[in-house]
Amino acid sequence: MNHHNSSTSSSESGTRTRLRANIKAALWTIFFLVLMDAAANLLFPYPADPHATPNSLQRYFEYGRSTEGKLPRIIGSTDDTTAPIGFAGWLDPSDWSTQPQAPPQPDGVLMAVYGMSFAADAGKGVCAIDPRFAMRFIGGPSAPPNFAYAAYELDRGNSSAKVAVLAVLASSVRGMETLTGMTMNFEQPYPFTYPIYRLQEGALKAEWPQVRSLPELRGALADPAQWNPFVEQLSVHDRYYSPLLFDRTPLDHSAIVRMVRRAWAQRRDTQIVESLRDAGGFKESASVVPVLRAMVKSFAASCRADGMLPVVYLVNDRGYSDHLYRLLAPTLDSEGIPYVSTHTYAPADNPANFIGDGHFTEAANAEIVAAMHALIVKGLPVPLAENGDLLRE
Amino acid sequence: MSFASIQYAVFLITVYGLYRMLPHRQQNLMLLVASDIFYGAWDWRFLSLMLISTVIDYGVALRLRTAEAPGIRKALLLASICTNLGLLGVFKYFNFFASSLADLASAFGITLHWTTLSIVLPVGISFYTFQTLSYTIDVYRRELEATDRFFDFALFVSFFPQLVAGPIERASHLLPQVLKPRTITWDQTTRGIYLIAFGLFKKVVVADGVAHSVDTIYNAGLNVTWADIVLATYLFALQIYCDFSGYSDIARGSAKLLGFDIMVNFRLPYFSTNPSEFWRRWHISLSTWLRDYLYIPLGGNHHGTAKTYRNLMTTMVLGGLWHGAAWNFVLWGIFQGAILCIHRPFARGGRDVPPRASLRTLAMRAAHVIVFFHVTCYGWLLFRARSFEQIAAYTTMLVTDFGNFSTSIPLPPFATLLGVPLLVLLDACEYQKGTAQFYRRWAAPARGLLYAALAFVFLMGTSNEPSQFIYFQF
Repeated sequence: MNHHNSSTSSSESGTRTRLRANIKAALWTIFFLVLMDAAANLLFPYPADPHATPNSLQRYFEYGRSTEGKLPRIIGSTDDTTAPIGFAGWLDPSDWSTQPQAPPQPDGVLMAVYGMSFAADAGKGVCAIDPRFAMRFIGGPSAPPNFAYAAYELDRGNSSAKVAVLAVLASSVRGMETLTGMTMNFEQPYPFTYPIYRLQEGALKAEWPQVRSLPELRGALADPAQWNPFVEQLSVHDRYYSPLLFDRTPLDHSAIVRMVRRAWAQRRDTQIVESLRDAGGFKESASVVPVLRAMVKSFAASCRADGMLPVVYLVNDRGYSDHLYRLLAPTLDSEGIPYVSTHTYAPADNPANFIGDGHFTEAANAEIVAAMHALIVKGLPVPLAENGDLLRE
Repeated sequence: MSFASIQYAVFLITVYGLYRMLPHRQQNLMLLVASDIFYGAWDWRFLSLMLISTVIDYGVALRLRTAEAPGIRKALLLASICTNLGLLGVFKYFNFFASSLADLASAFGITLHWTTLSIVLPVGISFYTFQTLSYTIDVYRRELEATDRFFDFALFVSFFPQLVAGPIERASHLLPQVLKPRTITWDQTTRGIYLIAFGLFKKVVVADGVAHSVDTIYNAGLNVTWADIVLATYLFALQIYCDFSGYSDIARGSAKLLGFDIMVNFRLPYFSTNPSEFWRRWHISLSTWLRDYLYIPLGGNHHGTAKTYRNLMTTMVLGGLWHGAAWNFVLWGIFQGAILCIHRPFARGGRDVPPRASLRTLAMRAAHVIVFFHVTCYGWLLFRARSFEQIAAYTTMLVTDFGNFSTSIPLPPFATLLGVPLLVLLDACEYQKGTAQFYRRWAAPARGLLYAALAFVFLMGTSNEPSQFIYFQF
């Protein structure tokens, strides 16, 4: 009996010792986590200067900061205190005065390009291989099709372009129900805004954001009476808006919270993307699909009405195989709309076609450019003069 | 319901809370219901397949308990084997064999007019089928007493922590734990939590982190270089180890929280110096299952050299096919069988070189580990490839494009780049100390630092793109 008691007591004491040791280890764990959190903030502070380029680790620990927490680092009260990305992509025609309105040579061709960097690369390429061409480019980083379409609509009649290129980036189709790059690109928000289009009785109807230019954004950021209605509009209409990701909180100061928020943003992005597409391609049932088809049709019809050659540029970027082509080719073919799909020249499942940031390599872009150039030259209503003279200049 | 999900965390906490409030019998019933919910979350229709296996094997084993005539006993065993392998054959292999036969016939100019069936592979069928088969075979061999408690037996078959991707438990090990009341000790709880955390770290930080890089190259077809193939295959070696052993760790950890002890499935497989040692360290529950229920019944190594090689090849080819209904798995099985056969004459009684030895011995061992790791990696190339054409092309390029260092493989995320050295360090500690619980002897601050480092890197890795556990498809 005594033996039993002593063994029970020894076992209880062993359990207590282990419990104490585990509590100590747990406290040390918390201590080290706090230390690591502080260390991440101290060692990798995000540069205060909006023109400084943060290194990859500074960016890494910043990704999860709330959108409202990131905006003051991007948008300053003046141009000098605003980061370059803050100026990009605004659908403000007053910003486009620097873009050419006519070709430099009388017998040349002005090509208006609406989209994103992929579209700019293709347009520059066409101009580089054929000096008769000049490009008027209106674009925004990773801009969704609704941005490109709105840019085209706003720019109608502003130039003597003979060709209009509407670029559709496969990975940005998910942004068709967003009003701004602030929500769609959580990790590195792009402040520019654009409308959402919806089909009403077969026609495209735009829902414009309340903030439409950089000065308006500056004003809104400084004035809650303007900012709050804009956020309210995002919460109602923008599919990517989430208060947990958007709203600034004191927890922004914690690197750990930022990492968790970033993970949550990615899960949410994946869920939205999966609602639009699966391994086989875009889903016919997705609400954006009829809108996108209506956009390319409307774009082509109005181009033709304006005497321009419409070209739709389908960018099947990394991870999207030929999905965009399969989604839109039937519409484009049936409407006789000229198009270039990158999957033919630079298959998205070949990693050798892409550089680290996801853009096409020069070689892949050259293939695409050659195809686009041939398509435009063939499609122009008035044949181009031989370019021999121009090339000799 | 994936282990690496919020849903599973909620599920496990709920089950644990209920479990702690209930007496033993109700605990088992609750675990059975929870296991069915867990499995049904994938596709509730496939619960019926598990029920068929459970009812047949329960009935067969009960009948075996009383049957004495060898003929009847064999017939009963055959009924169990046919039921289980029949289900496996239909749901996992029918389309594979049908299309392979059609391909073979067309090679001889014969066209077979049939279509393959649209069959969805029930998750975990290969695991629970082997688990329940081992029960009837053990009862047939009179190595195990059949149980008459149906619900307890059903729990043994469907126990959720190891239901969909193992470890493949033996009835002799798990069933007694189901039948008897369990106690949950403080040590079990803390070890369980550590195993779950470490498993999640392996899965989320490492396996999911490298998945995109691996997929980019292996999905790129033939547009790759020597460096692409080598790097992607190294990363796949990491991915499959962390994915599968991570799952096993979470399974063991979850079971420990509930007072169960399920078997170790991985023991630092990449520290192996030869194929024989590798199979004592990799997917141990499958390799021992194949040894006990296939290799030894075939005659093992007791009937001469030729038959031993035949038995080894048969076992490994079927082991390869167990992984999936595709020819590359058969080829992987042939490769594993071949290297076991080649190694066999050089094996020295199957003993491993002790980790604590002279510097020269350790250096030799390290060299053997590195060389054998590359042999293993070639096997992973066969395993991961999507077609024979890809295997042939990649194998050719490994020779003809040797030294072409240009690569387009995407760099894994930062969390993974931090996580891999941490994993290697922890595995090296385990190897050096000879126990997976080496960290428990550390002082509290050192343990705290380890846990914090794991937690911090895990939180960084939570933004890695999640991917399905590889072994769910088997």
